[in-house]
Order: sequence, then C-alpha cells, then structure tokens
Amino acid sequence: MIEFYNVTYGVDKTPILNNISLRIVKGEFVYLAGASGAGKSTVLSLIYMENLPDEGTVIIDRYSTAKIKQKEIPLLRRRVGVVFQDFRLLMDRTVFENVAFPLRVIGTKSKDIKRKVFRVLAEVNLSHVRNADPAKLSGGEKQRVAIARAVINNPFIVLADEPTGNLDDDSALEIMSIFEKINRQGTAVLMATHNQSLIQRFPHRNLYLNKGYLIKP
Amino acid sequence: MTFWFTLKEGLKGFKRARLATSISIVSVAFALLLLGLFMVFTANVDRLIGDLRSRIELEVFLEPVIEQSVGMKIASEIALMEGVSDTRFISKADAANRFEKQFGRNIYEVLDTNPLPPSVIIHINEGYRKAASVREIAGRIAAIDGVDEVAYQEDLLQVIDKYIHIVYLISGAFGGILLVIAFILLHNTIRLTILARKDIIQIMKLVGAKEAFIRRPFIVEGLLQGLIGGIIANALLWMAVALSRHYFFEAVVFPYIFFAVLVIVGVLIGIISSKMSVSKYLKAVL
Ligand SMILES: Nc1ncnc2c1ncn2[C@@H]1O[C@H](COP(=O)(O)OP(=O)(O)OP(=O)(O)O)[C@@H](O)[C@H]1O
Ligand SMILES: [Mg+2]
Repeated sequence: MIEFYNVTYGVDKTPILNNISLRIVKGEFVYLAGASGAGKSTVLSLIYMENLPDEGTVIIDRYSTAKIKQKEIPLLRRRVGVVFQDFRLLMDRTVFENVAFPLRVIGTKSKDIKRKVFRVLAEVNLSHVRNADPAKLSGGEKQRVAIARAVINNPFIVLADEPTGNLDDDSALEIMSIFEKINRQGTAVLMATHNQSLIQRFPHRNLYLNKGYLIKP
Repeated sequence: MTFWFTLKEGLKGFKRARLATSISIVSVAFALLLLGLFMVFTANVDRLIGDLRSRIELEVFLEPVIEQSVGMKIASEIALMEGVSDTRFISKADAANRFEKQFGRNIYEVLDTNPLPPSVIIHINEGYRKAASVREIAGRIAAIDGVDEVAYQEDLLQVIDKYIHIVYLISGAFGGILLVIAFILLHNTIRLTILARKDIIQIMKLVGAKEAFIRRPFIVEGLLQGLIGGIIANALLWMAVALSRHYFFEAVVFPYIFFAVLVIVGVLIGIISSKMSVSKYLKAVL
C-alpha cells in the first residue's frame, strides 16, 4: 500500500509538488498522467525514496518517511520495482545477468537465481535471447528485460516512468499487455505517462498532475 | 555467494576503465618504487652510520708509574661497567711497540726511558654509542683510582648525533610525501573508474543494494591496483638494487622485509583511496 499525506517537495525553494495526498492499494493499476514537467517522475522518486518530502509523509508498505533510517532504504527498494523510459540496462553483461542483477545484489544462491530468471524471462517472452548482449535487442525487447529485472524480486508494486515513451506503437502495446499480466498476478502498477491513447485503450484509475498539484477527477 | 559477485565486479572494473586502471597502476608502481629506493637509501645510510659508531673506541690512559698487575685489574674493573663491551690492556711495552709501528722509530732511540703510560682500550655496547652516554661512561672511568685521562673522538660522535636526526627527518618527510603522491594518484584514477561505472552504481542503488555492498567491488579494484603496483615496484626495486650492487657497491644493504612493506603500503593505499572515492560519490548521488 502506498499513501501520500499532504506531501510537499521542492528543490532550492522551487516547489515541484504541492500538498499531494493519494493512496494506491494492493494490486491496483494506476496511471499518473500530466504534462511534461508536471512532477510525475518526482512522485515516483518519492516512492522509491530517492527523494524525501519536505513536508507531509509518504508511507510505502511498512516504511514511513517519518521514521525510515537511511540504512532501511535499500530494503524498501527490494520491495519496489522500477522501470524507466530509457531502460537503464547494464551493457557489459548478458540479458540473463541483467535480470539476475537484483538477486546477485542480495546474495541469492546461483541455483535459485537460475530458476527465477528463467521463469521471469519466460513471462516476458525473452527466453530465447537470455544469452544475448542487450545492446543488440530492439527497444521493446530492452524494455521487457527492464521489466523482468523490476519484477524478479516479487515487488508488491512496479513503478513505470513513461515505459513506452521510446517505443513504436506495436512495442508499446506489447509492453502494456505485459504490465496488465503482471497486474493480474497481484502486483500493483503505477505508470507515469502522457500517452492518452494508451490510457483509453487500457482503462484504469487515473491520477492527474498539473504543475505539481494533484487534480481531483 | 556475494563474494564472487564482488570479485567479478571488481575485475570488470579493471576491464571497463582499462586506460585509467593502467595509468593508475603504473603511477602507483612508480611512487612505490621511489619510496622503496628511498627506504634502501635510508637503510644504507643507517648501516654506514652504525659502522662509524661501532668504530668508536675509548683509550683510558693510566698513571705512568702504575704496576702492570694494578693496570690489568683496572682493565677488568672497566670491563664490568655498564655500556662497556670489551677492554684490552696495553702495557708500557705494548705502547712502545705501538709507537714504533706508528712512527717507525724505537722509543729508546729517542729517549732513554719509556715515558708512555699503560692504557686500556675499550669498546662500547651498541646501545651506548651516543655522545651523551659515552661522555657519561668516560666520566665514570676517569673517576677510577689510577686513571689519568680518557681519550676518544667526542666531536665525531657529536656530529653523527646531530646529523642523524636531520637524515631521519628528511627521510621521514620524503617518504611521507611519496605516500601522499601515491595516494592522490590512485584516488584520482579510482574516481575515473567510478565515473566509468556510475550506471552500475545507480542500478545497484535502485535494486536495493546496501552502500557497503556497492563499495566493495571498488575496494577490491583499488586493492588489486595497489597490489599489482606494489609487485611491479618490487621487481623494479630489486633490479635497481642488483644493478647498484653490480656497478657501484657490492655491500648495498637490502632488507627483504621491504618487499612486504611496499606491497602492504600499496594495498592499504588502494583500499583507503578507493573507499574514500566511492563513499564520496555515493554521498553525492544519494
Ligand atoms: N533535481 C531537480 N532540480 C531542479 N528542478 C527539478 C529537479 N528535478 C525536477 N525538477 C523540476 O521539477 C519539475 C517536475 O519534474 P518531473 O521530472 O517530475 O516532471 P515529469 O512530470 O516527470 O516530466 P516529464 O514528463 O517531462 O518526464 C520540472 O519542472 C523539473 O524541471
Ligand atoms: Mg518524468
């Protein structure tokens, strides 16, 4: 569960988010819409606690920004998957190793890593390229690798920041259907996007941001 | 499990920033080589000064009229004193022989009698070969009944005592400067290798790696750079010592512990500088 209580955040006295309150419950699929610069990425950064609010409280799962210690932030991030518009894959290792990366970081046994990575790669239809160099993949395939990496640790929510922004329509549809599938399996999805046609085609609750304010529907 | 990951990522860092890594290894090797040469130089100066000090001897002149048996008793009394390593009694006859050896003429040809007094030549234990302790020993000997005068090269000892401090001070300062240089060189190149891998750091943070875990591959990398730098420095240092033994001075002192010292210094510099760089970077991006 994700809750924002009267969250205000700014950089150098420039307000970016103003008095935001919202709630996303277990297993929900929610869009975060709004024009460029509205503050969508900033909302996501408050969820994986790259930034902490200036005022108000953000509660993610059992962690609250009011009480969390710096040392606990990595533990929170293991419960939250994140996908970006620009994929952010590691180009010095294979697809398999990219997906395995979050497991290596927490010291999972090789045997378990193999089992889990194979399963997740099958979910995103990439089993056949597991030993490939990610640089050689298409944009849609790269994003599927990124999604596989985001869900490998069984997060309770996946945050996606404009995940189809760099993709053609067909690839975008494919990515959307993967998110739908992940969501059906019980993982919440919060997707920042300004792609109205996707929002209409895959209807879900919509949070609309405008210049740092959350607009009531 | 994470051990292998750490090691692998550390080695990957080597490949990623090959040029920076090579430059850093070479520069650290160079700084450590200078440090090693300097340590060898200091060890040799130290040895030379030790030699000089070991040659210090005191000659205790006894009263000219003293009986030989009394003189020998005084000699054995002196031998038991603190700081004295050994004594040798020179009788009047020995003194006459020594005179003849030194000046080429028999004393009886010059004078009718032998005015040379008997004496005791003494050597000083290693820990007492300083101007102050030798003066103290000489004073105690001078107070013995039957002793006329104690002669030794006080000024030589004073000069050694005075300059040895300067030698140690300069070598300490120079060694310190070299360490700082090695440190800065490594620090800078490690920073480059960190920048070359900031994507990995970002993703590690994103997927919930703890800071200590993120730091570790970089520390391994710094450690390896220091280790390799130290080994190269040792090889070059050994060559330099072998060459100078061959061409200048066969007795060049080279304590083998220096090999270990250079490697350990290299490794420590590598660990500390990489730890500092990556910690600074992690703070900056958090
Ligand atoms: N570190 C920062 N320093 C200064 N300003 C920032 C910083 N991060 C974000 N901003 C500003 O905050 C506002 C919101 O940024 P944000 O990236 O959240 O918008 P967005 O809705 O994700 O936009 P886009 O659709 O273009 O990705 C923008 O005006 C941006 O310039
Ligand atoms: Mg954005």
